[in-house]
Amino acid sequence: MNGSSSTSSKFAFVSWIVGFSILGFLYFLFWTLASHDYNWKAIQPYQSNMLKGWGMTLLISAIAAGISILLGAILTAAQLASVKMTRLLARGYIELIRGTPLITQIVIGYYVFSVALEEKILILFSVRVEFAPFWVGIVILSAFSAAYLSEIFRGGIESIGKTQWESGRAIGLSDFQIYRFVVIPQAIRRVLPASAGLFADLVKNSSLLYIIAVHEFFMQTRGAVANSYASIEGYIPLAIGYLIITLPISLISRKLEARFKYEH
Amino acid sequence: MNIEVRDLSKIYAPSSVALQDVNFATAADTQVLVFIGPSGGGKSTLLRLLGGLESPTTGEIFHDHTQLDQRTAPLRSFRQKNGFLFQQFNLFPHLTALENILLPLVEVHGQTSANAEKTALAGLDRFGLADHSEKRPGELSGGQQQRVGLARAMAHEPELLILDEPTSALDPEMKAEVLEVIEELCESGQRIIFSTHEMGFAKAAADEVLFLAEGTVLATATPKEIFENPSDPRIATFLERVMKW
Repeated sequence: MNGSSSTSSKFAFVSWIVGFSILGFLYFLFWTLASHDYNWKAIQPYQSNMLKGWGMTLLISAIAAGISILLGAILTAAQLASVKMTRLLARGYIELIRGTPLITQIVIGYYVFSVALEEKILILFSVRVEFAPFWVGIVILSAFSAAYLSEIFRGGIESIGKTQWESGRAIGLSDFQIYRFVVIPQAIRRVLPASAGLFADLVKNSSLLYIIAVHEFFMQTRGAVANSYASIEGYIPLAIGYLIITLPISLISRKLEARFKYEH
Repeated sequence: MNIEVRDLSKIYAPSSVALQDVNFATAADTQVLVFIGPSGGGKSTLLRLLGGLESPTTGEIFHDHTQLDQRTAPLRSFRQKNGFLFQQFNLFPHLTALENILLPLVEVHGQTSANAEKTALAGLDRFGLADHSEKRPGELSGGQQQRVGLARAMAHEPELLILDEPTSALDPEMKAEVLEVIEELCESGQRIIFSTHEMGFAKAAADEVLFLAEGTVLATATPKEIFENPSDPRIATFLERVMKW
Protein backbone atom coordinates (compact mmCIF):
# COMPACT_ATOMS: atom_id res chain seq x y z
CA MET A 1 0.00 0.00 0.00
CA ASN A 2 2.58 2.45 1.22
CA GLY A 3 4.95 1.48 -1.59
CA SER A 4 2.43 2.01 -4.32
CA SER A 5 1.29 5.40 -3.01
CA SER A 6 4.88 6.62 -2.76
CA THR A 7 5.49 5.34 -6.30
CA SER A 8 2.49 7.27 -7.57
CA SER A 9 3.56 10.45 -5.75
CA LYS A 10 7.04 10.10 -7.27
CA PHE A 11 5.37 9.65 -10.62
CA ALA A 12 3.28 12.80 -10.06
CA PHE A 13 6.44 14.70 -9.14
CA VAL A 14 8.17 13.65 -12.36
CA SER A 15 5.03 14.53 -14.34
CA TRP A 16 5.07 18.06 -12.88
CA ILE A 17 8.74 18.47 -13.81
CA VAL A 18 8.09 17.29 -17.35
CA GLY A 19 5.07 19.60 -17.63
CA PHE A 20 7.03 22.63 -16.45
CA SER A 21 9.96 21.81 -18.76
CA ILE A 22 7.63 21.76 -21.73
CA LEU A 23 6.04 25.04 -20.59
CA GLY A 24 9.48 26.61 -20.26
CA PHE A 25 10.47 25.42 -23.72
CA LEU A 26 7.24 26.74 -25.24
CA TYR A 27 7.82 30.08 -23.51
CA PHE A 28 11.30 30.23 -25.06
CA LEU A 29 9.88 29.50 -28.53
CA PHE A 30 7.13 32.04 -28.14
CA TRP A 31 9.53 34.66 -26.79
CA THR A 32 11.89 34.13 -29.73
CA LEU A 33 9.09 34.51 -32.24
CA ALA A 34 7.43 37.42 -30.43
CA SER A 35 10.56 39.46 -29.91
CA HIS A 36 11.64 39.22 -33.53
CA ASP A 37 11.53 42.39 -35.55
CA TYR A 38 9.44 41.22 -38.48
CA ASN A 39 9.84 42.56 -41.94
CA TRP A 40 7.09 40.90 -43.94
CA LYS A 41 7.51 43.37 -46.77
CA ALA A 42 10.90 41.90 -47.65
CA ILE A 43 9.46 38.48 -48.41
CA GLN A 44 6.39 39.78 -50.25
CA PRO A 45 7.90 39.81 -53.78
CA TYR A 46 8.60 36.09 -53.41
CA GLN A 47 5.17 35.11 -52.15
CA SER A 48 3.94 33.84 -55.48
CA ASN A 49 7.05 31.69 -55.91
CA MET A 50 6.50 30.16 -52.50
CA LEU A 51 2.88 29.52 -53.29
CA LYS A 52 3.90 27.79 -56.52
CA GLY A 53 6.38 25.73 -54.54
CA TRP A 54 3.64 24.74 -52.11
CA GLY A 55 1.45 23.67 -55.01
CA MET A 56 4.36 21.69 -56.43
CA THR A 57 4.88 19.91 -53.11
CA LEU A 58 1.18 19.07 -52.97
CA LEU A 59 1.23 17.76 -56.54
CA ILE A 60 4.40 15.70 -56.04
CA SER A 61 3.05 14.23 -52.81
CA ALA A 62 -0.31 13.36 -54.33
CA ILE A 63 1.18 11.62 -57.37
CA ALA A 64 3.84 9.85 -55.32
CA ALA A 65 1.22 8.70 -52.79
CA GLY A 66 -0.85 7.18 -55.58
CA ILE A 67 2.10 5.41 -57.15
CA SER A 68 3.40 4.21 -53.81
CA ILE A 69 0.05 2.62 -52.91
CA LEU A 70 0.17 0.71 -56.18
CA LEU A 71 3.84 -0.26 -55.81
CA GLY A 72 3.33 -1.06 -52.14
CA ALA A 73 0.47 -3.40 -52.98
CA ILE A 74 2.60 -5.16 -55.60
CA LEU A 75 5.48 -5.50 -53.13
CA THR A 76 3.10 -6.88 -50.52
CA ALA A 77 1.82 -9.46 -52.97
CA ALA A 78 5.44 -10.34 -53.78
CA GLN A 79 6.24 -10.74 -50.09
CA LEU A 80 3.30 -13.11 -49.67
CA ALA A 81 3.95 -14.98 -52.92
CA SER A 82 4.40 -18.73 -52.95
CA VAL A 83 7.56 -18.49 -55.08
CA LYS A 84 10.54 -18.17 -52.77
CA MET A 85 12.63 -16.16 -55.22
CA THR A 86 9.91 -13.53 -55.51
CA ARG A 87 9.64 -13.30 -51.74
CA LEU A 88 13.41 -12.92 -51.36
CA LEU A 89 13.64 -10.24 -54.05
CA ALA A 90 10.86 -8.21 -52.44
CA ARG A 91 12.47 -8.63 -49.03
CA GLY A 92 15.87 -7.58 -50.41
CA TYR A 93 14.42 -4.48 -52.05
CA ILE A 94 12.66 -3.44 -48.86
CA GLU A 95 15.77 -3.93 -46.74
CA LEU A 96 17.84 -1.94 -49.24
CA ILE A 97 15.41 0.98 -49.23
CA ARG A 98 14.90 0.98 -45.49
CA GLY A 99 18.59 0.62 -44.76
CA THR A 100 19.80 3.64 -46.74
CA PRO A 101 19.00 7.35 -46.35
CA LEU A 102 16.44 8.82 -48.72
CA ILE A 103 18.88 11.56 -49.68
CA THR A 104 21.34 8.92 -50.93
CA GLN A 105 18.62 7.30 -52.97
CA ILE A 106 17.70 10.66 -54.48
CA VAL A 107 21.24 11.48 -55.64
CA ILE A 108 21.98 7.95 -56.88
CA GLY A 109 18.59 7.77 -58.58
CA TYR A 110 19.02 11.10 -60.30
CA TYR A 111 22.74 11.26 -61.10
CA VAL A 112 23.31 7.56 -61.78
CA PHE A 113 20.18 5.66 -62.79
CA SER A 114 18.29 8.44 -64.52
CA VAL A 115 21.38 9.38 -66.57
CA ALA A 116 22.11 5.74 -67.38
CA LEU A 117 18.53 5.24 -68.55
CA GLU A 118 18.75 8.32 -70.78
CA GLU A 119 21.92 6.86 -72.38
CA LYS A 120 20.34 3.44 -72.83
CA ILE A 121 17.38 4.98 -74.61
CA LEU A 122 19.70 7.00 -76.84
CA ILE A 123 21.67 3.87 -77.81
CA LEU A 124 18.65 1.60 -78.29
CA PHE A 125 16.19 3.97 -79.95
CA SER A 126 18.41 6.87 -81.06
CA VAL A 127 16.12 9.21 -79.18
CA ARG A 128 17.53 11.86 -76.90
CA VAL A 129 15.40 12.20 -73.80
CA GLU A 130 15.99 14.12 -70.64
CA PHE A 131 14.05 13.13 -67.54
CA ALA A 132 12.83 16.14 -65.60
CA PRO A 133 13.88 16.24 -61.94
CA PHE A 134 10.17 16.54 -61.15
CA TRP A 135 9.38 13.08 -62.51
CA VAL A 136 12.61 11.46 -61.32
CA GLY A 137 11.86 12.84 -57.88
CA ILE A 138 8.34 11.41 -57.92
CA VAL A 139 9.62 7.99 -58.95
CA ILE A 140 12.26 7.94 -56.19
CA LEU A 141 9.84 9.13 -53.52
CA SER A 142 7.30 6.52 -54.61
CA ALA A 143 9.88 3.74 -54.60
CA PHE A 144 10.96 4.83 -51.13
CA SER A 145 7.47 5.08 -49.62
CA ALA A 146 6.30 1.86 -51.26
CA ALA A 147 8.86 -0.16 -49.30
CA TYR A 148 7.52 1.17 -46.00
CA LEU A 149 3.89 0.91 -47.12
CA SER A 150 4.28 -2.71 -48.11
CA GLU A 151 5.58 -3.52 -44.63
CA ILE A 152 2.49 -1.86 -43.18
CA PHE A 153 0.21 -3.71 -45.62
CA ARG A 154 1.87 -7.05 -44.90
CA GLY A 155 1.48 -6.50 -41.17
CA GLY A 156 -2.21 -5.74 -41.65
CA ILE A 157 -2.84 -8.81 -43.78
CA GLU A 158 -0.95 -11.12 -41.44
CA SER A 159 -2.89 -9.75 -38.46
CA ILE A 160 -6.12 -11.26 -39.79
CA GLY A 161 -6.59 -14.50 -37.88
CA LYS A 162 -6.30 -18.03 -39.19
CA THR A 163 -9.93 -18.68 -38.33
CA GLN A 164 -10.99 -16.18 -40.99
CA TRP A 165 -9.10 -18.19 -43.59
CA GLU A 166 -10.64 -21.35 -42.24
CA SER A 167 -14.14 -19.92 -42.50
CA GLY A 168 -13.50 -18.66 -45.99
CA ARG A 169 -12.31 -22.07 -47.13
CA ALA A 170 -15.22 -23.77 -45.40
CA ILE A 171 -17.77 -21.78 -47.41
CA GLY A 172 -15.90 -22.64 -50.58
CA LEU A 173 -14.08 -19.41 -51.37
CA SER A 174 -10.80 -19.62 -53.29
CA ASP A 175 -7.68 -18.13 -51.72
CA PHE A 176 -7.98 -15.14 -54.05
CA GLN A 177 -11.60 -14.61 -53.00
CA ILE A 178 -10.64 -14.87 -49.33
CA TYR A 179 -8.10 -12.09 -49.82
CA ARG A 180 -10.59 -10.01 -51.74
CA PHE A 181 -13.73 -10.38 -49.63
CA VAL A 182 -12.45 -11.31 -46.19
CA VAL A 183 -8.84 -10.44 -45.48
CA ILE A 184 -8.17 -7.20 -47.35
CA PRO A 185 -11.37 -5.39 -46.28
CA GLN A 186 -10.51 -6.12 -42.65
CA ALA A 187 -6.82 -5.32 -43.11
CA ILE A 188 -7.55 -1.89 -44.63
CA ARG A 189 -8.96 -0.56 -41.40
CA ARG A 190 -6.01 -1.83 -39.42
CA VAL A 191 -3.43 -0.24 -41.71
CA LEU A 192 -5.13 3.15 -41.99
CA PRO A 193 -3.44 4.93 -39.05
CA ALA A 194 0.06 3.75 -39.96
CA SER A 195 -0.49 4.53 -43.65
CA ALA A 196 -1.69 8.05 -42.85
CA GLY A 197 1.49 8.61 -40.85
CA LEU A 198 3.50 7.41 -43.79
CA PHE A 199 1.74 9.77 -46.21
CA ALA A 200 2.50 12.68 -43.86
CA ASP A 201 6.15 11.53 -43.92
CA LEU A 202 6.02 11.46 -47.69
CA VAL A 203 4.90 15.09 -47.83
CA LYS A 204 7.73 16.14 -45.54
CA ASN A 205 10.28 13.93 -47.29
CA SER A 206 9.49 15.59 -50.61
CA SER A 207 11.42 18.62 -49.30
CA LEU A 208 14.64 16.64 -49.85
CA LEU A 209 14.06 16.83 -53.59
CA TYR A 210 15.50 20.33 -53.50
CA ILE A 211 18.95 18.73 -53.90
CA ILE A 212 18.11 17.68 -57.45
CA ALA A 213 16.58 21.10 -58.09
CA VAL A 214 12.90 20.25 -57.99
CA HIS A 215 11.19 23.59 -57.46
CA GLU A 216 9.10 22.49 -54.54
CA PHE A 217 8.08 24.38 -51.43
CA PHE A 218 11.34 24.08 -49.50
CA MET A 219 13.53 25.09 -52.43
CA GLN A 220 11.34 28.05 -53.29
CA THR A 221 11.35 29.21 -49.69
CA ARG A 222 15.11 28.92 -49.46
CA GLY A 223 15.40 30.99 -52.60
CA ALA A 224 13.06 33.60 -51.20
CA VAL A 225 14.98 33.77 -47.96
CA ALA A 226 18.33 34.05 -49.73
CA ASN A 227 17.18 36.84 -52.00
CA SER A 228 15.23 38.84 -49.47
CA TYR A 229 17.63 38.52 -46.54
CA ALA A 230 14.57 37.66 -44.48
CA SER A 231 14.63 34.36 -42.62
CA ILE A 232 11.92 33.77 -40.07
CA GLU A 233 9.45 35.51 -42.40
CA GLY A 234 10.07 32.71 -44.89
CA TYR A 235 10.48 29.76 -42.53
CA ILE A 236 7.30 30.33 -40.52
CA PRO A 237 5.06 30.15 -43.61
CA LEU A 238 7.16 27.12 -44.66
CA ALA A 239 6.30 25.23 -41.46
CA ILE A 240 2.65 26.28 -41.63
CA GLY A 241 2.46 25.32 -45.29
CA TYR A 242 3.52 21.74 -44.50
CA LEU A 243 1.09 21.56 -41.58
CA ILE A 244 -1.76 22.61 -43.88
CA ILE A 245 -1.10 19.43 -45.88
CA THR A 246 -0.22 16.99 -43.10
CA LEU A 247 -2.92 17.82 -40.55
CA PRO A 248 -5.86 16.99 -42.84
CA ILE A 249 -4.21 13.65 -43.63
CA SER A 250 -4.45 12.47 -40.03
CA LEU A 251 -7.92 13.98 -39.75
CA ILE A 252 -9.21 12.14 -42.81
CA SER A 253 -7.58 8.94 -41.62
CA ARG A 254 -9.39 9.19 -38.29
CA LYS A 255 -12.70 9.74 -40.10
CA LEU A 256 -12.12 6.73 -42.34
CA GLU A 257 -11.11 4.62 -39.37
CA ALA A 258 -14.36 5.44 -37.64
CA ARG A 259 -16.30 4.54 -40.74
CA PHE A 260 -14.60 1.15 -41.00
CA LYS A 261 -15.16 0.44 -37.35
CA TYR A 262 -17.04 -2.77 -36.68
CA GLU A 263 -15.34 -4.40 -33.71
CA HIS A 264 -16.82 -3.70 -30.32
CA MET B 1 -25.61 -41.31 -45.82
CA ASN B 2 -22.88 -43.75 -46.27
CA ILE B 3 -19.45 -42.78 -45.05
CA GLU B 4 -16.57 -45.16 -45.10
CA VAL B 5 -13.05 -44.53 -43.90
CA ARG B 6 -10.09 -46.82 -44.52
CA ASP B 7 -6.76 -46.72 -42.65
CA LEU B 8 -7.11 -42.98 -42.11
CA SER B 9 -4.26 -41.18 -40.35
CA LYS B 10 -3.52 -37.53 -39.76
CA ILE B 11 -0.05 -36.88 -38.44
CA TYR B 12 0.98 -33.23 -38.02
CA ALA B 13 4.39 -34.13 -36.61
CA PRO B 14 5.90 -37.33 -35.21
CA SER B 15 4.96 -36.10 -31.75
CA SER B 16 1.53 -34.88 -32.82
CA VAL B 17 -0.59 -37.73 -34.14
CA ALA B 18 -4.21 -36.64 -34.39
CA LEU B 19 -5.63 -39.79 -35.94
CA GLN B 20 -4.06 -43.20 -36.32
CA ASP B 21 -5.37 -45.93 -38.66
CA VAL B 22 -9.04 -45.13 -38.33
CA ASN B 23 -11.47 -47.54 -39.96
CA PHE B 24 -15.23 -47.37 -39.87
CA ALA B 25 -18.34 -47.41 -42.03
CA THR B 26 -21.68 -45.88 -41.17
CA ALA B 27 -24.96 -47.67 -41.61
CA ALA B 28 -26.68 -46.79 -44.89
CA ASP B 29 -29.72 -45.28 -43.20
CA THR B 30 -27.79 -43.01 -40.84
CA GLN B 31 -28.95 -39.43 -41.22
CA VAL B 32 -27.43 -37.91 -38.10
CA LEU B 33 -23.97 -39.06 -37.08
CA VAL B 34 -22.55 -37.84 -33.78
CA PHE B 35 -18.96 -37.91 -32.57
CA ILE B 36 -18.37 -38.08 -28.86
CA GLY B 37 -15.30 -38.69 -26.74
CA PRO B 38 -12.71 -36.86 -24.68
CA SER B 39 -11.19 -33.59 -25.85
CA GLY B 40 -8.09 -34.09 -27.93
CA GLY B 41 -9.32 -37.50 -29.02
CA GLY B 42 -9.48 -36.61 -32.71
CA LYS B 43 -13.11 -35.54 -33.20
CA SER B 44 -12.28 -32.20 -34.79
CA THR B 45 -9.60 -33.66 -37.02
CA LEU B 46 -11.89 -36.40 -38.29
CA LEU B 47 -14.66 -33.86 -39.01
CA ARG B 48 -12.22 -31.67 -40.91
CA LEU B 49 -10.97 -34.62 -42.96
CA LEU B 50 -14.52 -35.79 -43.74
CA GLY B 51 -15.46 -32.25 -44.77
CA GLY B 52 -12.43 -31.81 -47.00
CA LEU B 53 -10.98 -28.95 -44.98
CA GLU B 54 -7.75 -30.88 -44.55
CA SER B 55 -6.14 -33.78 -46.32
CA PRO B 56 -5.20 -36.99 -44.53
CA THR B 57 -1.61 -38.11 -44.16
CA THR B 58 -2.65 -41.58 -45.31
CA GLY B 59 -5.89 -43.40 -45.97
CA GLU B 60 -9.08 -42.99 -47.95
CA ILE B 61 -12.49 -41.43 -47.37
CA PHE B 62 -15.64 -42.48 -49.22
CA HIS B 63 -18.85 -40.46 -49.28
CA ASP B 64 -21.68 -42.57 -50.69
CA HIS B 65 -19.13 -44.96 -52.22
CA THR B 66 -17.25 -42.16 -54.02
CA GLN B 67 -13.70 -41.57 -52.92
CA LEU B 68 -12.90 -38.03 -51.81
CA ASP B 69 -10.44 -36.58 -54.31
CA GLN B 70 -7.74 -34.76 -52.37
CA ARG B 71 -6.55 -32.47 -55.18
CA THR B 72 -7.17 -28.74 -54.64
CA ALA B 73 -9.95 -28.11 -57.17
CA PRO B 74 -12.13 -31.19 -56.49
CA LEU B 75 -11.66 -30.67 -52.76
CA ARG B 76 -12.89 -27.11 -53.06
CA SER B 77 -15.96 -28.08 -55.06
CA PHE B 78 -16.64 -30.81 -52.49
CA ARG B 79 -16.52 -28.20 -49.71
CA GLN B 80 -18.93 -26.02 -51.66
CA LYS B 81 -21.54 -28.78 -51.55
CA ASN B 82 -21.35 -28.98 -47.77
CA GLY B 83 -21.94 -26.67 -44.85
CA PHE B 84 -19.71 -26.12 -41.84
CA LEU B 85 -19.99 -24.59 -38.43
CA PHE B 86 -17.12 -24.40 -36.00
CA GLN B 87 -16.84 -24.14 -32.27
CA GLN B 88 -15.54 -20.58 -32.37
CA PHE B 89 -17.77 -18.06 -34.06
CA ASN B 90 -16.30 -17.80 -37.49
CA LEU B 91 -18.46 -15.17 -39.06
CA PHE B 92 -16.77 -12.34 -40.93
CA PRO B 93 -16.74 -9.41 -38.48
CA HIS B 94 -16.77 -6.69 -41.14
CA LEU B 95 -19.99 -7.94 -42.75
CA THR B 96 -23.55 -7.83 -41.43
CA ALA B 97 -25.42 -11.05 -40.66
CA LEU B 98 -27.15 -10.77 -44.02
CA GLU B 99 -23.92 -10.06 -45.92
CA ASN B 100 -22.25 -13.03 -44.24
CA ILE B 101 -24.86 -15.27 -45.81
CA LEU B 102 -24.94 -13.43 -49.15
CA LEU B 103 -21.18 -13.68 -49.75
CA PRO B 104 -20.99 -17.43 -50.45
CA LEU B 105 -24.35 -17.48 -52.24
CA VAL B 106 -23.26 -14.81 -54.70
CA GLU B 107 -19.52 -15.44 -55.01
CA VAL B 108 -19.39 -19.22 -54.68
CA HIS B 109 -22.78 -20.42 -55.86
CA GLY B 110 -23.28 -17.74 -58.50
CA GLN B 111 -26.75 -16.65 -57.44
CA THR B 112 -28.06 -13.24 -58.45
CA SER B 113 -28.12 -10.70 -55.62
CA ALA B 114 -31.91 -10.63 -55.62
CA ASN B 115 -32.26 -14.40 -55.35
CA ALA B 116 -29.49 -14.64 -52.80
CA GLU B 117 -31.10 -11.99 -50.66
CA LYS B 118 -34.43 -13.79 -50.73
CA THR B 119 -32.73 -17.03 -49.68
CA ALA B 120 -30.64 -15.35 -46.99
CA LEU B 121 -33.56 -13.49 -45.45
CA ALA B 122 -35.64 -16.68 -45.40
CA GLY B 123 -32.76 -18.43 -43.65
CA LEU B 124 -32.39 -15.70 -41.04
CA ASP B 125 -36.13 -15.86 -40.46
CA ARG B 126 -36.03 -19.65 -40.09
CA PHE B 127 -33.43 -19.38 -37.34
CA GLY B 128 -35.24 -16.56 -35.53
CA LEU B 129 -32.90 -13.79 -36.65
CA ALA B 130 -35.20 -11.69 -38.81
CA ASP B 131 -34.61 -8.60 -36.66
CA HIS B 132 -30.84 -8.94 -36.74
CA SER B 133 -30.06 -9.07 -40.45
CA GLU B 134 -28.34 -5.68 -40.53
CA LYS B 135 -26.23 -6.26 -37.41
CA ARG B 136 -22.57 -7.11 -37.48
CA PRO B 137 -21.33 -10.14 -35.49
CA GLY B 138 -19.91 -7.83 -32.81
CA GLU B 139 -23.46 -6.68 -32.04
CA LEU B 140 -24.86 -10.22 -31.69
CA SER B 141 -24.75 -12.61 -28.75
CA GLY B 142 -22.78 -15.85 -29.02
CA GLY B 143 -25.94 -17.84 -29.56
CA GLN B 144 -27.16 -15.47 -32.27
CA GLN B 145 -23.77 -15.64 -33.97
CA GLN B 146 -23.90 -19.42 -34.05
CA ARG B 147 -27.40 -19.30 -35.49
CA VAL B 148 -26.21 -16.89 -38.21
CA GLY B 149 -23.39 -19.37 -38.81
CA LEU B 150 -25.98 -22.13 -39.17
CA ALA B 151 -28.06 -19.99 -41.51
CA ARG B 152 -24.95 -19.40 -43.63
CA ALA B 153 -24.02 -23.08 -43.63
CA MET B 154 -27.58 -24.05 -44.62
CA ALA B 155 -28.28 -21.31 -47.18
CA HIS B 156 -27.12 -23.29 -50.22
CA GLU B 157 -28.96 -26.45 -49.09
CA PRO B 158 -25.82 -28.48 -48.37
CA GLU B 159 -25.78 -32.22 -48.93
CA LEU B 160 -24.01 -32.62 -45.64
CA LEU B 161 -23.88 -30.29 -42.64
CA ILE B 162 -20.79 -30.61 -40.44
CA LEU B 163 -20.83 -29.06 -36.98
CA ASP B 164 -17.72 -29.06 -34.81
CA GLU B 165 -18.78 -28.67 -31.18
CA PRO B 166 -21.20 -25.89 -32.14
CA THR B 167 -22.25 -25.10 -28.58
CA SER B 168 -19.02 -25.58 -26.63
CA ALA B 169 -18.27 -21.89 -26.36
CA LEU B 170 -21.78 -20.89 -25.27
CA ASP B 171 -23.40 -20.41 -21.88
CA PRO B 172 -26.25 -22.82 -21.01
CA GLU B 173 -29.12 -20.65 -22.16
CA MET B 174 -27.54 -19.95 -25.55
CA LYS B 175 -26.57 -23.60 -25.80
CA ALA B 176 -30.24 -24.46 -25.54
CA GLU B 177 -31.29 -21.97 -28.21
CA VAL B 178 -28.70 -23.32 -30.65
CA LEU B 179 -29.42 -26.98 -29.86
CA GLU B 180 -33.12 -26.35 -30.54
CA VAL B 181 -32.23 -25.12 -34.01
CA ILE B 182 -29.98 -28.12 -34.65
CA GLU B 183 -32.71 -30.43 -33.41
CA GLU B 184 -35.09 -28.87 -35.89
CA LEU B 185 -32.53 -29.46 -38.66
CA CYS B 186 -32.13 -33.10 -37.64
CA GLU B 187 -35.89 -33.58 -37.78
CA SER B 188 -36.12 -31.90 -41.18
CA GLY B 189 -34.12 -34.75 -42.71
CA GLN B 190 -30.86 -32.84 -43.14
CA ARG B 191 -27.77 -35.04 -43.18
CA ILE B 192 -25.64 -33.94 -40.27
CA ILE B 193 -22.38 -34.97 -38.69
CA PHE B 194 -21.56 -33.20 -35.46
CA SER B 195 -19.28 -33.52 -32.51
CA THR B 196 -20.49 -32.56 -29.09
CA HIS B 197 -20.04 -32.82 -25.35
CA GLU B 198 -23.81 -32.63 -24.83
CA MET B 199 -24.47 -36.28 -24.10
CA GLY B 200 -28.20 -35.87 -23.64
CA PHE B 201 -28.49 -34.20 -27.02
CA ALA B 202 -26.25 -36.80 -28.67
CA LYS B 203 -28.40 -39.58 -27.31
CA ALA B 204 -31.62 -37.97 -28.49
CA ALA B 205 -30.55 -36.74 -31.90
CA ALA B 206 -28.11 -39.35 -33.21
CA ASP B 207 -28.90 -42.26 -35.47
CA GLU B 208 -25.38 -43.48 -34.97
CA VAL B 209 -22.67 -42.55 -32.50
CA LEU B 210 -18.95 -42.73 -33.05
CA PHE B 211 -16.72 -42.77 -30.00
CA LEU B 212 -13.24 -41.34 -30.54
CA ALA B 213 -10.36 -41.36 -28.10
CA GLU B 214 -6.60 -41.12 -28.46
CA GLY B 215 -6.85 -40.76 -32.22
CA THR B 216 -8.81 -43.94 -32.86
CA VAL B 217 -12.44 -44.97 -33.12
CA LEU B 218 -13.32 -47.11 -30.13
CA ALA B 219 -16.85 -47.85 -31.26
CA THR B 220 -19.53 -47.10 -33.82
CA ALA B 221 -22.97 -48.00 -32.60
CA THR B 222 -26.50 -46.81 -32.05
CA PRO B 223 -26.91 -44.34 -29.18
CA LYS B 224 -28.76 -47.03 -27.23
CA GLU B 225 -25.83 -49.43 -27.45
CA ILE B 226 -23.19 -46.81 -26.64
CA PHE B 227 -24.99 -45.24 -23.72
CA GLU B 228 -26.54 -48.34 -22.20
CA ASN B 229 -24.15 -51.10 -23.04
CA PRO B 230 -20.75 -49.71 -24.10
CA SER B 231 -18.49 -52.29 -25.68
CA ASP B 232 -15.26 -50.78 -24.40
CA PRO B 233 -14.46 -50.11 -20.73
CA ARG B 234 -12.89 -46.76 -21.70
CA ILE B 235 -16.24 -45.61 -23.07
CA ALA B 236 -17.99 -46.68 -19.90
CA THR B 237 -15.47 -44.77 -17.79
CA PHE B 238 -15.81 -41.65 -19.92
CA LEU B 239 -19.60 -41.70 -19.90
CA GLU B 240 -19.73 -42.36 -16.19
CA ARG B 241 -17.55 -39.32 -15.59
CA VAL B 242 -19.36 -36.88 -17.87
CA MET B 243 -22.87 -38.04 -16.94
CA LYS B 244 -22.16 -37.91 -13.21
CA TRP B 245 -22.99 -34.23 -12.85
